Order: sequence, then C-alpha cells, then structure tokens
Amino acid sequence: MKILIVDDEAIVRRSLRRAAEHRGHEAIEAEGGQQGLQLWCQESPDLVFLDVLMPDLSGPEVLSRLGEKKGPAKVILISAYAGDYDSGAAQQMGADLFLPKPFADIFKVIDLAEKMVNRV
Amino acid sequence: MDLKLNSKPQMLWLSSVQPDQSFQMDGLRGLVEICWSTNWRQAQAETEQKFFPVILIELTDHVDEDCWQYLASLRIDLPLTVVMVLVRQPDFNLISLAIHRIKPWRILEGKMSLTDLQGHLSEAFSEHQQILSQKSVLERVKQQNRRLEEMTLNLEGLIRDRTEDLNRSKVETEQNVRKMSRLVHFVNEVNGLMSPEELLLTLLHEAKVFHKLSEVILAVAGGPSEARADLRLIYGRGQRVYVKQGNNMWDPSSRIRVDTKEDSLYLANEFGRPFSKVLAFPIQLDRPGVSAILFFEHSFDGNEVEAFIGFMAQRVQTLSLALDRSLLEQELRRESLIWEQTFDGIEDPVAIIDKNWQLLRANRHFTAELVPGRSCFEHFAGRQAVCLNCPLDQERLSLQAAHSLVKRGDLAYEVYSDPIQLRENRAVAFVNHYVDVSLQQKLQGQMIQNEKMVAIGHLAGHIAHELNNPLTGIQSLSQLMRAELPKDSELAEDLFEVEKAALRSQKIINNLLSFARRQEGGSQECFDLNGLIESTLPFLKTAMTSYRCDIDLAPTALKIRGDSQLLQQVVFNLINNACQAMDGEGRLDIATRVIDSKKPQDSRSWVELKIKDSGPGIPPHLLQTIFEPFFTTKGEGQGTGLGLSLSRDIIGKMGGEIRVESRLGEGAQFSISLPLEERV
Repeated sequence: MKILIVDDEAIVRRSLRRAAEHRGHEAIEAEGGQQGLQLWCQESPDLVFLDVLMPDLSGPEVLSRLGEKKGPAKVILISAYAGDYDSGAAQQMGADLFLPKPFADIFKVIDLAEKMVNRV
Repeated sequence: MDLKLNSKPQMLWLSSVQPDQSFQMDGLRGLVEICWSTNWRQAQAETEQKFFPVILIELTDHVDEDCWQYLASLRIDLPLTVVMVLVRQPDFNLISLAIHRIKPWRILEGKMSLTDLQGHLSEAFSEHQQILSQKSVLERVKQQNRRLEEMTLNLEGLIRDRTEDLNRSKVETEQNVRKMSRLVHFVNEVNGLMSPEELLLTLLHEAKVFHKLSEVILAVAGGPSEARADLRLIYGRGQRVYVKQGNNMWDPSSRIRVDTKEDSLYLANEFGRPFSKVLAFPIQLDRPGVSAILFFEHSFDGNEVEAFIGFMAQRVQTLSLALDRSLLEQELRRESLIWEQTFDGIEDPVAIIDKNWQLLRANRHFTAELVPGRSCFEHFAGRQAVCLNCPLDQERLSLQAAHSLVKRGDLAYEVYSDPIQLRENRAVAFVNHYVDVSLQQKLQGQMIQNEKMVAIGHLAGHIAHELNNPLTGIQSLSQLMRAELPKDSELAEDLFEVEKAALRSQKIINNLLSFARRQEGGSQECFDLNGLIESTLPFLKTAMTSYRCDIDLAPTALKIRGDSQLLQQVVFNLINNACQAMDGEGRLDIATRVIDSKKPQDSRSWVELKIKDSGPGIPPHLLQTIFEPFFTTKGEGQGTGLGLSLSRDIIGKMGGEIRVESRLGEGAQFSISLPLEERV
C-alpha cells in the first residue's frame, strides 16, 4: 500500500512513515500542501494522511484543488486543533475520516488505514 | 463791751435825788450820755420819745403807786432795755418791793464808788448787747421758720399738683399702653400669619370693638404669573372668612375713601347685594403687578369714622407688609413646589448634602422620608458609616466635582457630586446625582468574563495545536520504538513511561481546551463533580504548590446537571482565591460528599463541595457583602477572577447555593451544595 503523508510537522510525518514502514507499507512525505498536491498527482497513493492546518495550502484546499484528480485514494484528515472537525465534516470535504492529533496508538491508526484501503 | 469804742451810749437815770448830791457825775459823763429824770412822768415821756439801752432807777422811800406801776411796765414795754435799781439806803422792804414789782436785771445797793457804778453800767450795756443779739438771732430764726413754713406750703401744693398731673397722665399712659400693646399684639399676630385669609381673620378680631362694622372685604388682584386673571375677594364678619373670585377691578386710586358711591357700587356688583356706606383703604404693596384694598361696610357716624380711620392708620402698614410677605411666600411655595416636583420627577436619586454628610434635601427616589439630622448614608444605604468610595471624601477638600461608584445593597450607583453654594457666604453643599449602573456593571462584568474566556480559549487552542504535534511525535515514536524492542527490555519500559507522560500532557491540554471553550446558551449536561475537580486541579498546580493540600473526594461519582464549564470556572476561582488568601503557606482542604436533605418534604440528595483555607479569614463586616456584585478586596487589575457574585449566580442557576463561613484568623470555608442528579 502506498501512503502519502502531507504535514508540515516533520515529527508527525516521521511518526506516520515509521509506523507505515514497520507494517511494510510504502510511505511518501510531503512537507506542505503544494508538495502534497504534486506528489498526490505523481504517485497516485492508496491512502493520504492530510493535515488540516499548513502554512502554504491547507488540507481542505488541497482536496478542493484536486477535485476529480483525487483518484481512488482514501483520505484521513489529521489535525492538532481538536474540535475543528469531525468525520462528518471531513466527508463533506472529500475526506474519509478525521483523526485528532496526537494519536492514542499509532498502530491502531495504521490498522484503520489498512482496513479502509482493503475494504475497497 | 468796751464802751469807749462806740459813740457814747445813752442811759436814763431816774432819780428824785439830784445826781450832784449822790455822785460825781463828771466821772460818768465821759463814758455815757445820761438823761436825767427826776420823776416817773418825765421818764415816761423820755422813754416814749427815745430808746435807752439802760435805765437806772434810784429808789427812795417815797415811791407812789403810779410810779410803781410805771416801773413795773418797763419790763414789758421795753424788753430790750436793761433795768437796774439803785437803793442807797439799806431798806429791805424797798428792795424786796423793787425785786417783786420791777424785776430788775440787777439791784445796786448802798453807797457806791464811781468805779463800782462804772463797772455795773458797763455790764448793763453788755447785757443789753446780748439781749439785742439774742433778739436778732430769735428774729432770724423766726424769719427762717416763716420761710420754711411758706416753702412747706408751696411744696405741698407742688406735690399736690404733680400728683394730680401724674394721675391724669397715668390714665392717659395706660390708655396709650393698652392701645400700643394691642397694636403690638396685632403686629405680632399678623407677622406670624401665612395667608391673606388669616390676615383678614385677625383684622376682624381686632376690629370687633367697632360694633357698627358689618362686613370686611380684602380684595387682592394680580399675581406674578397669572397677571390680572387672579382677583380674589376675601370677606368675612365675626369668626368666619370666605373667598370668592372677583370679576372686575376696583377704583385703583391710592387715597383712603370714605363712603364713595363708586366703592359701594363696585361691591354691590361683585356681591350682588346693596352696600350703603363703605370705607376703602388701599394697601400699598411692594410686589409688582399685585394690588390690594380693604373695604369696610359700616354704619359709623362722624366721630366713629375718625376713630376707625385712626385705628386703621396704625395697622395698615403692618397689614401691607404682612400681605406682601404672605403673597411672596405663596409665590415661593408655588415656585418651590415646582422645583420639588421637578426634583422628585427625576428618576435617579438626587440629594443635597453638606460637607459633614448631613442630608439637606433629597428627592423621593433617594429616600421616602427625610429625617433631619440623619446622614446621607443612613438614608440611602442604611449604613452607619460613610459609603465606600464616597465622592465627597475627595471633593469636600478640593471642591472639585467628583464621581465614583457607590453601592447600595445589591445595586451599584455611579455618584456624580458637584459642589454648590446654596446661599452667599454659606458653607458649600454638594449635589449628588446617583445613576444606577448595576445592570451595566453586571453586563460589563459578564462581558469581561466572556472576553477573558474567549481569550483563554484562543490561547488554549493555539497552545494545544502547538503542543499536540510534538506530542504526536513523542507518543507515536515511543510506541514504534517499543514495538521494535524486546518486550521485557528496560528501554521498552522507559519508553512506556515517556508514552504515559505524553498521554497525561494530552489530557491536560484537552482539559484546558474544555475549560476555555465557552458553549453558547449554557449546556445542561450531566457530569461528575469529582471528575470536574480532578480535571481542574492541574491548572492550579502552580497556585497550590506551597500549600499542604488535602483532597478528600467522595468515593463514587457525583452526577450533577448543569453547565460544567461554568461550574469549573467557579471551582477554579474558589481554589485560586483560597490560595491567594493564604499568601505563602497554609493548608487547603477540598472535599466532596453526598448529603441527604434535612427537610422531610424534600427527598432529594445533595452534593456538597467544601473548599477550606487556613488564611487570615474574612472580616465579619465583609461577610455580608462578599457575594454582592462589584465586591473586591483586590487592587485594580488584580481582580481577574469571576467574582463571587457571578459564582453565586451560576450556582443558583444550577439549583444550588453557595455559603461562606469564616472567623478572623481561622481561615474561610466556602461550601457549594448542588442537587444530586443520580446516585451511582
């Protein structure tokens, strides 16, 4: 499974990449919205971890820019701003799930991602 | 007496014997002028013509009765003359006869030398002189007595006259005094009176001695505001006075008028009945636009009219002064009534206060009843001492307008105080205007609280965001490392601790977020009081560090209903206050428990939270006001808390109550009781 991680926080990207690789998945990191948008189109990932608040382009903006080019990728919105969104709001914006940071258990997050991709 | 000094004295020598035969007369002639008589008839003739100070009678034996009678008469006829008898022969009978009949001054007896005779004569002349001087003294005394008598007589007459005069004038004076005292009485009476009606009544009473007076009418026209519209006829007789509206103006001339047709006609028109004889006394008034006149209906004859005019002349000036004053007072009353109504009409309390906080005047919104001698704070706030922040405190010294916030029970007033001078040269007073700013203050307090919480919310959100990202790393990477390490390794255990710490940090952040996040409209969730306290304590850790904390929470969850965020703010503030009160060291007790209602009709159970500190305690006088709005003992900018009044409101909305118990030096204990939603 190819996973794209879009977050301006290096430690968050690293955490998610290390957990994904631990489970044998391929992980690509994007440091911001713009790069995320570019990599999304280039790499066609199976799943994207998309941070909400980023300096250049926010997660929801990335989603709206992608539009139809989003492809089959599953999207998990992640945010350190608790209470900003819930999964309902996330779905309206074209994402599949919303997860607040920090994650209680990083492996459960990967489990969740695997389930979402495998369900299709 | 020394005969030689005077012109020669004269003497009569009566002797039947020739002197030449008896004495050497030459020796005597140098001293006295002697008139010789040889018989008594000759001597009588001599004494009738001429006065002799001394008569010497030389007796011989042949003295006839006629001669004796003549000689006896000498003492009476010539009282000033010294009579001596010379008897040459020692004839006892003759001597005793002479003594008996003549009663001489001295009897010279026997043969006598010239010198002896000279001595006797000299003594006789001195005797004469003595008699003379005695007589003149007597005369003078008599004269003086006479004059005294005359004077006495005169004086008596004078006294009699004076007494009569006095008696006469006493009657007059008494009459005058009576008149004057009546006048004085009248003046005094009149001065104390307020209304024209009372004035007329007094005048009626005074004039009741004039029996032929029937009706007395006091007409007053005009006024300051209503101009001529107000024409009053005040009339009466005996003890009663009536007032009626007049229609027309009377003859405005200022003369006293006796029985004029015009006046009779005027009154007849006004009263609708005939008036025969009328005396008219115009009253001079100082008040512009106002005139007055007195009409007397009477049946006096000539003298009585004069007497009555005299009577009135003495009183008309007093009446005019009194009427002037009475009208002025009526006008002032009207004016002051307008001001009073204006004053009372102002919805805000307004008061005039002197510099010693004595209430001089106040409108009805300030106090229902002004008790003289009571201070403004007694009236307004029911206090025994000056209100906190009284603007007068600074103003009475500077005499500059001041304003400040003053409390009256649960209400807060912005007091605007301006110094005024009520009268010239009088001490300054202060007009205080009280604006109720309670609602404004309350809203402002709530707004500040809301803004504060919004600010904390923003800050908390920002901190959460900033912390949550690194926490994600710490937690996730710890988990990853732990997964890659053997399960029983020391490092794995260390990482587990790191993970737990991260979790705790996350929880604190979440609590902070929920503390700061104010839900609009107030939620009515069911929550655990113990949990709320546990999630609040971490924020107070720094505040609580230096105190011994004893936290004794009920073993089960205490489910209550209400706005948990607000209650959390209350709890936060109470604990924070307790810590601030202790200042340095002390002991903090926080306890919760379930208490069953003591009231039989109330089956509900209650949850009680006690927060007790060991600080200095709350002074008794502040215990009453501690829950009142705008109460703070903290300096400006320090009172960042919720305020106990807002806390009381929040608890009240949850159906509970908050109490405080405190003794000076023994700390303070706040207890919150709330209805228990469900037992777990």
